[in-house]
Amino acid sequence: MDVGRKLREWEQEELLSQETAALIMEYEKQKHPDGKKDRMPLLMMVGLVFFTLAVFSFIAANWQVMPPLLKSGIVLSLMWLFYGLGMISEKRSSGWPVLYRMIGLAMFGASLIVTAQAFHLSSSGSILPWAVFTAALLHYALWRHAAYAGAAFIMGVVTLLASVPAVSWLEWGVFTAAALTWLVFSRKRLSLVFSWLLVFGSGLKLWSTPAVESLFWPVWTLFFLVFLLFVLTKEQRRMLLPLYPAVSAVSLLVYLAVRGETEGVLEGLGWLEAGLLAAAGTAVLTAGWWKFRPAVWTAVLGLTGLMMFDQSAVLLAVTAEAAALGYMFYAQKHELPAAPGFIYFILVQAVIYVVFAWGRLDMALFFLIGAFLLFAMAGSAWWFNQRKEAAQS
Amino acid sequence: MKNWVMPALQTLFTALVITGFFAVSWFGESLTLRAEPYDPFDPFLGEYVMLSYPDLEAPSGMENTTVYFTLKEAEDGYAVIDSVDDQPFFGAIEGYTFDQRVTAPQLEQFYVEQGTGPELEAAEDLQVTVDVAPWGAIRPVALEIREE
Repeated sequence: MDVGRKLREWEQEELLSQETAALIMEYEKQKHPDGKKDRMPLLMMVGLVFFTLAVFSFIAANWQVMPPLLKSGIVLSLMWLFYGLGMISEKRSSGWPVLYRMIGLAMFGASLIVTAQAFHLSSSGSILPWAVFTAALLHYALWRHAAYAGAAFIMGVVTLLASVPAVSWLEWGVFTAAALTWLVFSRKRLSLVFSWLLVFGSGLKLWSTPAVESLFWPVWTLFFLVFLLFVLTKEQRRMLLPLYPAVSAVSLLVYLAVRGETEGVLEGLGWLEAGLLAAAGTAVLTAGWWKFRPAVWTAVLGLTGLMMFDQSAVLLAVTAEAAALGYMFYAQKHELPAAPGFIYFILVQAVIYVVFAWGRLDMALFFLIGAFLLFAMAGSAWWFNQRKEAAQS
Repeated sequence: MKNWVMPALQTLFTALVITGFFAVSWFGESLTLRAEPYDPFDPFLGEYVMLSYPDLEAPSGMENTTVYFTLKEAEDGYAVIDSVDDQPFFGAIEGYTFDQRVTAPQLEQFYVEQGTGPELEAAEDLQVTVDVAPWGAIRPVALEIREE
């Protein structure tokens, strides 16, 4: 945009005084003494593109005969180049320092892949994702930009998946400690959500450890995360609390689908664990009611252990319906966004339909009528609420 | 200072990984394994030969499981299993049994020069030279056509 032209236009329209316009022009002249000097000549840009292409073509043509050390060295040099560009663009306040450092981080991953390949080693282990995950976390600790948090989250998920189907206790412990440290020291929403999800993921990863078999690692992890709220700050809790009903709702649906689609008694299901889960659920209910109200919904999962003994899955279906409807009322009363509760309600109907009505039309009709009744109830509750608010105003 | 911490740490890590590979050869023993090729190409990593080892037979009762094993040179000059256990012990290579044979992640694939993969796969009788460190790390060094 031509600043001088716009200033003259605003001056003519009497939006700016002559003095202010002169002050702005003076400021712009000092800030950008000669804009044209900063621009790279077109010919130089074309030349640079061709030079880069030539360098890469040369490397590609000779890649097979290069000694392994040179291959790793080339990728590491590219990594240094991009970190250098990042530093320069940050100092000059131009360009995209974050993007350059992200490419530098990617080059670090590439250097490990190239090294593994050049030295004939398997790249299927978890060393590579671990190294890039740690590096991305350190980037975030140093520069506090959401892009590094995103990279750390993606590499955290890759690290979790890389050690499937088996993970040692040591690796699991180190990963959980890293994710928990990230969570505790996070202050921004995105970083908190990503680290929280990784802690939850490490709970799911307990299925890959040589631990006691349990069907309920997601529930135990969610309960742990509820009690973790006690050590977090008020601001951290405010940003994290919406995750609890959301993840609990999805977990309940998954348990409903698994129970409904499995014939007979589930392997690994025991009364002792079901009882312990119910007791822990009561503790979560108390903690939620007392201190973190949105986390109360997580307590519903305490009943899953006992309800999984019901081979018809009706108890789980009724609980999911009641929880969905209850949340819609709760959201309405507390003026929360209605969409999540509504979407969950629809999802519950869909899962129930698949579980119970696949080939059994009578049951489908039964649940369809039930769904219509619940909708009618929810609609009338909303209507009464609207009338009450209108009367009050 | 802050700007150089990450590239320096990352370079140091890659250098440590490379040194680790070289250390296997510096302190390890060189062995040759009979190998048979199968399969082909990775779009990201290039051409490689997947390998199985006919001399590394899985002991009965250890099918499709994690195993810890050491290698020794047999009288014919090719490596065979020295000792194998389902529990880790010092100097053991961590691997697994599959299809009545023992292998390890570091042994199962070998990256080759572009275009040489089909020739090696067609040859069928191959040999792999590996360096095995006293602490159980392996470094595959060469893949060649076996002439017996």
